[in-house]
Amino acid sequence: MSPLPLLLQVLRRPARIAGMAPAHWDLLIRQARAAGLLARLYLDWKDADLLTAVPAQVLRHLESERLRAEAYQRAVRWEIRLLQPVFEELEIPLLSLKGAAYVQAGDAAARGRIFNDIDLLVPETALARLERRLLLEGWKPSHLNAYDQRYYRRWMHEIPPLRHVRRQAVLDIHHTLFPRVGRYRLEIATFWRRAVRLRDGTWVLAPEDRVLHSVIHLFTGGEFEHGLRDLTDIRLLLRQFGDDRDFMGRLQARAVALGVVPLLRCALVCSADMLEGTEAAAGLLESAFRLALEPCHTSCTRLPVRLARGALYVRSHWLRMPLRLLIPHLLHKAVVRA
Amino acid sequence: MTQAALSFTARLRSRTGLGLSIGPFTVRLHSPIPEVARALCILYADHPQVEAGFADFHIAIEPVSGLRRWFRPQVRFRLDDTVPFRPLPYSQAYPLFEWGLNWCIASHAHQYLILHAAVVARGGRALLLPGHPGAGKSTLCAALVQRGWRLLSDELALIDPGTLEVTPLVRPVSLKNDSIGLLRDFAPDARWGPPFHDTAKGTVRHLRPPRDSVVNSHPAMPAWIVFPRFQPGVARQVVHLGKGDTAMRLLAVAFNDVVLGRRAFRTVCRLVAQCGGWELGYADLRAALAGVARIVR
Repeated sequence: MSPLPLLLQVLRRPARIAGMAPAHWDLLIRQARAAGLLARLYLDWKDADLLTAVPAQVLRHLESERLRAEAYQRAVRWEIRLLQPVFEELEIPLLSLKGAAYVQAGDAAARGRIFNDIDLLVPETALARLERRLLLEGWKPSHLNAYDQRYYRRWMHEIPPLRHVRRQAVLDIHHTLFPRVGRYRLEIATFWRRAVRLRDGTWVLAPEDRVLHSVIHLFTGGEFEHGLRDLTDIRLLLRQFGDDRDFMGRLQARAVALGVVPLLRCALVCSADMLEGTEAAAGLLESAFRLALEPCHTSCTRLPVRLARGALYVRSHWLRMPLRLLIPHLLHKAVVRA
Repeated sequence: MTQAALSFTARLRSRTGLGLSIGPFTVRLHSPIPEVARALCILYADHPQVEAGFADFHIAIEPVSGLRRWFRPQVRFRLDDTVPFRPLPYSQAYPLFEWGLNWCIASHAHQYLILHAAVVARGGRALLLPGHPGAGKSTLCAALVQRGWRLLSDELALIDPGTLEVTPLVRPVSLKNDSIGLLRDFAPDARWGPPFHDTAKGTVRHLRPPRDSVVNSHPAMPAWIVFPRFQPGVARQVVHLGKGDTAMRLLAVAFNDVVLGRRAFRTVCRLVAQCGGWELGYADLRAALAGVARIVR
């Protein structure tokens, strides 16, 4: 039996850190940093009254990351505050997705999270004028080479991520939740109809949709650097909404309507297995993700994990692009990497 | 190669690397590059070495593999699994370690307010020398240290937001271009590391920190804030700064004020309340030291 990575052992059973040797603390912090989970661990241990078990030299790293996570939350709220008047002027609803949505909605998944981009959903018809207006506000397309621009615009029907010239924040503007040419057809109108308006006038997806968007993103994706963190996001969301007895029923129904039941099952199995240590019947897809979502650190990338990641990387492209676009794209990427 | 250099080389190449205690941090360093071992051997000779355990930073300075090995070889800085910067020419392997370590600390030590400043101390009182690169803070810092001030840091001031004390981070003092000549004339007996030419900052050379600063290292409370300004050919100038001006200048050289937010602002305000602020324009080191003597009297 392959040993379970230390980070997963600790996530399953936080009390494990009591009396841990310095060499293990060293490994744990490195794995947790690579996984982007340091701040979240700090907050979880604080809630569980476990901070006294953490040596002072280690605690400094956790506190430092918590400060960074708080700074990112402030930054997200600030950027959205600055964007609101622009969207109001253009009469476009400002709907935040993923991490930004967790912050806006006050979800548990905002805890201890470091944010890279601010993801927004806008109606497709509004894209062009929004991009023009944002340029005036200092938001410039960040992928400037011609191939990447074409990839985003013509093939994925998206605008490339926008970076603010002064503040360096990155805005990722979507009009779908899954590529239109991809193998999952997600009717975006249903998401808009179910969207929830927040007190400050911005929007987020309905709770079931927030969970499913995270599930779809993770379990059709091929990059696993933040995979384990995204899985903990999902678990936090499920716990938060699970207080409502009818939530799971509604979640299942919505998953059926969207045709993503296999992905939801994958999420539930992986979450139960990796984060709670509960045995669950696992099919091929679940087994692959069970490996791929392990922490991305040299201390725990054994061969089965690398193979699973490779296979899921190819699957991710296959799900998102038809073959006639996929082959040239993969060839181009292979050449550029070499 | 001396016995000490051989020992450094062996440890740097071993599986667990070389463990160094640098200020409040434990650094584990790996490198197969002989020049790195030689420089460390001179400049970190007095720093305690640490056996394997918990390390704050796992750093590797390694040659870039592939075709680059033979044509204009390069080195890269690795922090655990990540490579945060672009590679540099092979000859700059050791400065890359110092610059990289600065970045590691400035990015991961938010329990402190981190200012771009040199810090020296007399008794328990600290003199902060903040400034942007090229202002002359390292030069003045090096001169003060050669004249008996205790070195706490030459680049990063680690300020405890609670107590306002500066935590020592004693490392080699990094000097550039003309400063190197100035210090050689000023302190002919000082111990230097090897020179590194054609870097982005010009020629760079490091001064070994005094043994006493390394071994008798303890925090100090800031008492004076002096912004150095090295201006060749201009007469010495000591200008007293108002509190507001001092505070704004300090915030301008803070690395992590955005991360700390309000806490950074409050810490700076408290610092400025308890310390006087000055700007010291100088062209030669003796005049600068006399200026400092006037300020701290």
